[in-house]
Amino acid sequence: MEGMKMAGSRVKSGMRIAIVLALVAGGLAACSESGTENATVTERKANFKAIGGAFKIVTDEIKTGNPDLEKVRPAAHELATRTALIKDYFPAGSGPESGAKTKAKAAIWTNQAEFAKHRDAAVAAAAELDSVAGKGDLAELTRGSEALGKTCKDCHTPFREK
Amino acid sequence: MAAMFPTARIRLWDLPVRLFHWALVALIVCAWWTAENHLISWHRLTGYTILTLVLFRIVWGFVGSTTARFSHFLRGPGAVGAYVGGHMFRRGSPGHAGHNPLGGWSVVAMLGLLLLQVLLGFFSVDVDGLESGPFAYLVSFDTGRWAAETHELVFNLLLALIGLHVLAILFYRVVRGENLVGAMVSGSRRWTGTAPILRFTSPLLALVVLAGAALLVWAVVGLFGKV
Repeated sequence: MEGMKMAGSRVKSGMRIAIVLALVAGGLAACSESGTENATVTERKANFKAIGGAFKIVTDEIKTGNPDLEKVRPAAHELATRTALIKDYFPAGSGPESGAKTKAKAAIWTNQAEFAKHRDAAVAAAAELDSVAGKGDLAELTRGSEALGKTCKDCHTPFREK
Repeated sequence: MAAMFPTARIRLWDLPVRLFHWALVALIVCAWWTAENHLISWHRLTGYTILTLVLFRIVWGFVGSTTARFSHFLRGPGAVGAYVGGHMFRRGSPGHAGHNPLGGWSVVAMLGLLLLQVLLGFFSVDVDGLESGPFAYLVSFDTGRWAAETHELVFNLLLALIGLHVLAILFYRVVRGENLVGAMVSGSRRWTGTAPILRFTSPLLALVVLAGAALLVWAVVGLFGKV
């Protein structure tokens, strides 16, 4: 009897916990989905996400100490291609004022010369990484990857919300 | 009266628990600061150290001194409810030799959150795909980003729990007139009435457990992690 009662109350409290968790999850989802849809912002984010993904492949391979060039080469090439696309993804009106959920700071459009400088540095660094990726020299690959990583950071610090 | 309820200082917390506690305070500040300033190598090292300490504390909760043991301070919902509904708000009511029934669970919550936090850090990837935890190479970029975002969320939960902890200490000071901080520094507290029987485990065993935890973390990260 006692055991059954306890099992029953355990089920009940289990359900209560499940309900609370569901409410919390729902609340979090509601928070993260706010903001109006903007095609440019959506594409821009997808491009940057793909850049992050490709860069992860390169840095993961470098970390092994014996990078698999079959993985590094296409990833480095994708990095070069997608980094070159960045310039088309920041038209006027695609900043925070668009109402879309974006971490792009308004400073990108008020300080365009500075932004362009950082962007071009990233494009150049990605092209350089792409050119050394085929050679398979670990030191060169590491240098190229670090140089590109630095351009990400240099631009994200002033122009991207944390 | 005084003869019936003699007041004396009793030894409460062993040295390993106190060192663990204050080292953890310093390390959490360090983890936050190194993350804010993008000192990722130091941040990783801080995480490994926190993991080592948490593993130590978990083992110490089974083999350590009486007040360090989970079996001593983890009580059922009935005991927690009785404590909150009764003694907790009454000044001069008997204290607990160690964690009280409510505080005991906050210890578990704290250790659990810290463990979760380090595990999430292990798989985290930064937004550029450049810096990452030692096991991020095992997961996709998206999963690594999810881990990093959850890592931030759990940090806020930790802050909330720490805030609650500090509020509870103030509450004990103001409402019950108990100095919990002093006890965590000196290891002893004032005690009225029959002294509880507490056993203290040798700090040498604590050193052995700590070394074991450090070795485990070092081996797992060193052998399977990639940074």
